[in-house]
Amino acid sequence: MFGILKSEFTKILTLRSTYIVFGVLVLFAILGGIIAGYSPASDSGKVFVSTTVFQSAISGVLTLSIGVFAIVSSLVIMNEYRHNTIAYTLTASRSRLTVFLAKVITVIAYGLTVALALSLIAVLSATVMLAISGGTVTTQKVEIGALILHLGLYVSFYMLVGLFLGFILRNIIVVIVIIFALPVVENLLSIALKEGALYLPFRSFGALASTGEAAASASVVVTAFAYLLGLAALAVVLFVKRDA
Amino acid sequence: MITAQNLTKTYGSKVVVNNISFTVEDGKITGFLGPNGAGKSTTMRAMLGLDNAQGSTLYDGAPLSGYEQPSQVVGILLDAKSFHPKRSARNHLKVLAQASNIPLTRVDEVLSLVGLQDVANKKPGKFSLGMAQRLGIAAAILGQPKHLILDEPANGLDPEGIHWLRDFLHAYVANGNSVLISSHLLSEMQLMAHNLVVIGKGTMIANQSVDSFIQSASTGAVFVRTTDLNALATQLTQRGIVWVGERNGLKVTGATSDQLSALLFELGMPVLELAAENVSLEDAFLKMTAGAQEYRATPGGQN
Repeated sequence: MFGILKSEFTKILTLRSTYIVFGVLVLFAILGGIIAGYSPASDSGKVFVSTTVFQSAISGVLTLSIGVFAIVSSLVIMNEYRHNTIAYTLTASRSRLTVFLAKVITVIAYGLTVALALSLIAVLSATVMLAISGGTVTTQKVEIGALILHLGLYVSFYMLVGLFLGFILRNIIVVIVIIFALPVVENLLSIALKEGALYLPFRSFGALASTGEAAASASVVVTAFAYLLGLAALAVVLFVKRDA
Repeated sequence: MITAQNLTKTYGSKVVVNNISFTVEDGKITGFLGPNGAGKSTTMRAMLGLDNAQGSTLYDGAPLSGYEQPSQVVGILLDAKSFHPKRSARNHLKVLAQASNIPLTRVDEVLSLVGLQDVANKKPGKFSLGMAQRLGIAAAILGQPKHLILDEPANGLDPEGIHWLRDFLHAYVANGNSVLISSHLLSEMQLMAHNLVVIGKGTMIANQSVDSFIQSASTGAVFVRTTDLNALATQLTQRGIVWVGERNGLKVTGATSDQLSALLFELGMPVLELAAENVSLEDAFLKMTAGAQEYRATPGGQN
């Protein structure tokens, strides 16, 4: 298992596209930090700084880039089929479940690491912007525990959704359409469904990112987990039963 | 030894591999032949558990799932282009080595062995088919497995590459290992393989040594030419030996070249030409698989 895990990380780290995507996400993070930290002076010349600049910067950049996270995650398995390396991967292990588990661990670890890096960059960028605006950082209120829990869960969910869709569909175009188009469809549906829209798949995943008073209710969280487990079960069955 | 037992693979109602059983003996190269669409690749994939099929395949008595590191039991080359085109050759092998707990020093060893050391850091997306095959062979032998399953590894190799492959595989099996290899290069297979498994339309056609396969397709005819063909023909007929006129001689069946030589000597006729029919693996293959071809081209390029 350890060897397969090492191999999975090497697969990600030995492709230039990994770094190109990360570079783009870093730009998102810098931009997110600038937007969150921008605090224009009022007419009286006093600078008003929100107490949640950092939290906004982090949430903003992760929400903005979460679709990319999911696509990258789906490629962890889809590239194997696309380039026919799946035969090597499967014959390196005695069980397909081991391969499945290794990929799950890899995408979560990779996603959380990148999310942490982007969060730090966003905070740094917001700090610089605050300093330029004349605001003070000491007024910030950051719920570290809740932030880590909610955003960690949010990122992990999207990484897993991308991965499971990759296992199930094996088609990058369809995965991209689902990840980017379905949330739009859900937003349209929310006009009719109102509060009930929170129980739609991507709305429930998105609700995981909110903290404090805006945090998702227990029933929404349970719904999100149910969707994820359903996808996981389908992905496992198809991965084990289907021809490679 | 690899033992494939009752392998059957269906796609819907279509049976693409039908109850095939054979063994790949240690110390021998077993050629796996069949026309296009015969089910060779599917059989190989079923043997490796990549495609779900009925039946079983045992590697030295145990299924592949019974080994902690399957890729150190069997090395595979199923498709020359099985790599990410943007990951360097060295990193491609490094990924495979890590997954199988193979020391990374082995990566450079196999790259040198297949002659790719100079392009180790190049992206294989731009490799020629021959170079891709070499990388595939490097991947197959990375874990020094006892068994190799190679699907058309000679495709795209230059003559030097084919010669190297033949020598390499002969040396490989000389150490008690086994090789199952498919190829459409029948002349090469005749030189390379000891045994043959031949399938057509998913069913077994032959499972025997190369020599006996060729022998079974041979009519045993002998071509003979002498100064007085009419006299010779009369003598053959009197002895109950079948002959037909061919070119400026006789094609004789039912007598060996030794017997015909002795007869000509007895009759006082000079031997101008005496040759046993030379059947190649290609001749034998075409004869044995006639009617078992999934796809058949128009003869002579007619349209």
